[in-house]
Amino acid sequence: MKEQNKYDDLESFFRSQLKDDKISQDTWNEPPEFVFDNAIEAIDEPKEKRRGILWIFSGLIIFGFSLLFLNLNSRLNQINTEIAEIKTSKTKESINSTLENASRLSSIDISEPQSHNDLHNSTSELSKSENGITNEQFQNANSTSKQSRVFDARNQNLTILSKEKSITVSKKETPKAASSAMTANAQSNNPFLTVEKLRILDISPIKVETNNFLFSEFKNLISGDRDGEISEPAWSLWFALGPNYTSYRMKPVSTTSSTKLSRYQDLERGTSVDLGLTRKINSKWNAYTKFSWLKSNTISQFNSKLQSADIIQIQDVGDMESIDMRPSSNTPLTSNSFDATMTTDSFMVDQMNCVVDSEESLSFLALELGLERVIWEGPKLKLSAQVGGATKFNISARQESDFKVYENTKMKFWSNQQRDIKDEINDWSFDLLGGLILDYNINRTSSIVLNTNYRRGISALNGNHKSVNQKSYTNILQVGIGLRKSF
Amino acid sequence: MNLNVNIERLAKGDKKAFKDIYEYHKHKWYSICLRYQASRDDANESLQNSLIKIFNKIALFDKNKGDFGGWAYRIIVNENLQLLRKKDTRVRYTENAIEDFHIFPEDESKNNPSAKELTKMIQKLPEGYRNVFNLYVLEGLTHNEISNELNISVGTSKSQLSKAKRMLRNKLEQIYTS
Repeated sequence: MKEQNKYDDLESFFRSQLKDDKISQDTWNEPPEFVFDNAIEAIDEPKEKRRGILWIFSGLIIFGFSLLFLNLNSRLNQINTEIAEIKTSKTKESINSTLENASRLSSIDISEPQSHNDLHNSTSELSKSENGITNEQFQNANSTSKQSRVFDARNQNLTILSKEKSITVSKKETPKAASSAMTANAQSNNPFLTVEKLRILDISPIKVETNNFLFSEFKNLISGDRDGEISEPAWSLWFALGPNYTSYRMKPVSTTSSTKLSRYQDLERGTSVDLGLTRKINSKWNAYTKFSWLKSNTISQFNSKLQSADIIQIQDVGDMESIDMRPSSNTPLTSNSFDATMTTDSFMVDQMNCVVDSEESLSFLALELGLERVIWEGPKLKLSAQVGGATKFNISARQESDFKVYENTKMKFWSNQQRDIKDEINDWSFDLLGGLILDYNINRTSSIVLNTNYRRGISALNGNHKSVNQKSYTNILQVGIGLRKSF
Repeated sequence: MNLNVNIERLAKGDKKAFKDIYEYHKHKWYSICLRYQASRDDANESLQNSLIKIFNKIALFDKNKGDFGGWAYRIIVNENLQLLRKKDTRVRYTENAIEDFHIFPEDESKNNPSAKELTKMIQKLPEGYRNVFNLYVLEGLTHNEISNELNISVGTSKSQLSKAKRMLRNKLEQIYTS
């Protein structure tokens, strides 16, 4: 009777018997040595997940810097072009002004040329005009950029070559200097200096060529067919919202239990929000990066037959009227276990049928990098094709299940369960993608964008559960509509 | 063994200190895992994962907020629950059915079941019963807390506890009072 009372207060009995100080150091609770060794090994192992993320972010950083350098290079080209134009214009004005002023001088002392530098000196002297055209201005004009001077002795032309312009200064034919080169030894304050023999023959435009150190090999790509001018906006930011359709293709489902997949909705629908940044490379090609949030639901139904072997243990319950048990079904991503309360009479049957409807809700963040190419462009519409790669990070995974279990009328219960299954799913995967983008231009800098792309997961969204084929792929068709703003 | 010194060394990543701490606690820690898991394989896996977490999270341990034993205990219990949620319980449940449920008392404890025997009895409970019993009786959680922890209703928690106790009592009476 005393013993009977002891077990009546079962909770206290177990608590007292399983206190820490009652846990003896015995063989039954001696963990195997490999447990600690394996733990240390796992601690020492580099975390592949982190390594993968590191690689991805390194790639993104490199891509970002590439875009920055491309943009910087393009800006430098643009600035250089503008500077060159300003300086060329200034050169022309300076020389014309100098010659105009010098034409009033009364004399010029012509002598045999000593060297090309003499001619340069002469023209420099000429710049010392009365109207304030300073030597410095003329030097500026002459030294707009890297120049070379070519003296054509036969025609008595001096051609000053610069990157921006070619300037030809010629001496009029004179009997004395017909066969000689000219050196104009001008005296700025000499009222008799004549410069009639000098005139500007031509200032012809030269195609701008810059030699920026950054990505000079891309200069043609950057300048494209626009002769060095980037007149259109180089960047565009766009936002799109739309549905996505996902096929996980995660068959086969486990054969380790008697649970069988009876229906699997292969094509799932979800929602995507995209924020993209596009950089124009040239008139045809763009580079882009896109940040997306994707949500999708998978719906599946399983038909489970609980064999008598599964319930044999419960026969030990004696006179209990009912008992809870927890059969489970494998979904594409995880395992569905559920509580079922059954009357003990049910144990007499050989098998029971359970139908499990499972819905799993998944959310991802995706980072995408790729290239776009314009394949057709009209006055209002533009169609582009895109190719790229994307990495997806699973940010949430919930299981929202509705269990229905039927076995005659003796089984009762089934509940809706909601549980977080994020830990059971690999955090990230990599997709290749291709797609089409249709832009409808509202004005020069704004357009409505319709984007559709197909993604194929390489390292697919794999559940850790053994029901999932680890080599399976995900297929996602994504459609979005939104706005693009260029700047 | 100076536990505080070893914990400080562990916080710096000293694996020798970790080994010392483990040697000191391993029986208690493994007993917890055995209570929650139905097989030794699962208990091994659970203890291994727990050790990794203890090592990686030792920096978060604040000795002013409690002792190391209690802190590690919570990590081990949480890890066990997490592992149970991940497992295909039905498969293991079936495997259990193959093992014998009968517990034979050791001679010297004929009328006083040892911790080993009690642990084995808990281990042999159906999983739902075992979890609720462990959390309510041995961890001291309320039914509300258990319902949150296991994603079950309060009613289910109460029902499973009641049935677990009944099952254990029947077993104890059957073995030790006969």
